[in-house]
Amino acid sequence: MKTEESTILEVRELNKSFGGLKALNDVSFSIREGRISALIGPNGAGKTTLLNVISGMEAPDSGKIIFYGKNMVGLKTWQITEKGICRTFQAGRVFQKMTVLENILTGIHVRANSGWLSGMFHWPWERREEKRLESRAFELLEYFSLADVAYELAGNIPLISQRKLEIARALANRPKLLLLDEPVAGLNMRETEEMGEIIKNLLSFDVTILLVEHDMNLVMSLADWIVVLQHGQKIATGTPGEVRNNPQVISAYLGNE
Amino acid sequence: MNRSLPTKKWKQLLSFLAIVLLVPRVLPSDYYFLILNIIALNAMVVLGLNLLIGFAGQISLGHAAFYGLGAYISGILATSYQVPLSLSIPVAVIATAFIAFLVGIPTLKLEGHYLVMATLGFNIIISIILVQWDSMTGGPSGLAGIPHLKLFSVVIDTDRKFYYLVWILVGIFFWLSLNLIDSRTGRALRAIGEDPVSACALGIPVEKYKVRVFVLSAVYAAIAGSLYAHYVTFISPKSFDFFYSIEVVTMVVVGGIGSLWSGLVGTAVLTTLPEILEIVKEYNVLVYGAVLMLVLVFFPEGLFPGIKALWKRRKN
Repeated sequence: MKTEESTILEVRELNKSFGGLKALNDVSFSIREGRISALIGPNGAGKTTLLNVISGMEAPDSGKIIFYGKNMVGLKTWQITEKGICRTFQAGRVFQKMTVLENILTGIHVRANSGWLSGMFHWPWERREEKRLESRAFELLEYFSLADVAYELAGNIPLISQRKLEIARALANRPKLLLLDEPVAGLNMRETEEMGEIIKNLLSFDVTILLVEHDMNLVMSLADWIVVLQHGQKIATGTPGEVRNNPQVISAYLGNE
Repeated sequence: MNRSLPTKKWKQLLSFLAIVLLVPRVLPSDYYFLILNIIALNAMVVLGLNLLIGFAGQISLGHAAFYGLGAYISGILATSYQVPLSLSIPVAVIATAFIAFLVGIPTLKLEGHYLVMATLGFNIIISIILVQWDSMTGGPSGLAGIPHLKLFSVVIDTDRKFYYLVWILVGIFFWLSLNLIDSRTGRALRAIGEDPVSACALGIPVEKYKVRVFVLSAVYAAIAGSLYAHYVTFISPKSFDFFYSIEVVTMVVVGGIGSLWSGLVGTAVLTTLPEILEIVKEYNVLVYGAVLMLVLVFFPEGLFPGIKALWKRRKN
């Protein structure tokens, strides 16, 4: 039942503690398909932990993560990616010693088949697949205006381009749900605006977005559904307007700014 | 690695082949063939190890054990059981691959120093078995009378004949490895080497790949080992203790991590160096150590990249 309002991801009673610290305390929410949702909260609210748990990098103590009706808890990160959830990282983590093109090709990994022997012998079908992957990679590079640096080492291109590359690389494996972890951290105002525009247009890739972000202006202008965390607990959900006027949120988060 | 690579790769390989065929014409004595053959055997081990260390970022100090397993399994099968070499070598390689697989599953879950210690431990265990299991391995005095290789009707019983065989094999494995690096699998390995967390987030099953590249590198070592056994026809445990493991890792590092050509340079230099240092007699270990230190101080990226950078600077 995939209507426009269908739920793509449901987080159900998620708990995670580190020693005595409860990083996630009974967190439940759901996000709808084809939208940009955002996860906000002050530092130490548990946003990164939640992202790590959803992407399978940390196991929750209890709770469920339902993606298209199936529980993802217990799957490894690469299996979750295979199922269609892909994430980016806070500090930006492109493969610096690989070219821009190779970064994208690595992103396509799960949607390609060639194995070890094909790789060693460069069988004709392996070459054909590589050609196909390359032309797909160039479509993405062109969309993100990175095509002219395709053969540069990713570590040598500007920060904003690296961020774009990381998003392009994630899109390369055709996720249904894209988790963006602070995509504008470290960018200047002009670059932030550019990135905001890019994120807004990502919906055309038939992907749902969950954005974790500190930049309130960006969140308010992009997201149409916001989940607010504080001390590992969900304190509010709603549209930007609702969240902005929620007294609990104001005291917890906006008040602190 | 850009798209001009395939043609560049062919050029490099053709010049490699040309050098292999030309060298015998200018060598003054057969003694040099012995050294070149040892270089080739080391190069094959280093090639596999480079895939593991330089690309997938996993360090092993146990590859002498795989080299030794390849040598001993094929050697024992051929001497004690009269198994033909066309069977004993494949069996040795497959058995070693299987052992590497069993060792790799638990150890590659470890990282950094722990992985080094675990593989080192494995190497020591194999060394002890080779020494203690007298009835099978010949113990500390070694295994003698291993038959020479035979290719069709040609017995490879001279240094010169072995030279052609082994270097052509090195060329083939070199080519296969260059291909592998420039493929979907190679990208996955490089991704794991650079940032395993990101690799995993992109859907690459990191552990599976680590185990497989470990097995592949063990296969290279086992092939080299069995060739070695049938070349020198006498093997003893000393050749396969962990000092050899350290030696091959050093060749990878000194040559320059992350490039197969660098590994070849490192192998050639470090295999020849002790021979050259014969002139300083009892000081050879000292000088060897000093040379290593100097290389790592002045060319921390490795010998080959360092020299290339110097060359470029001189040109400009």
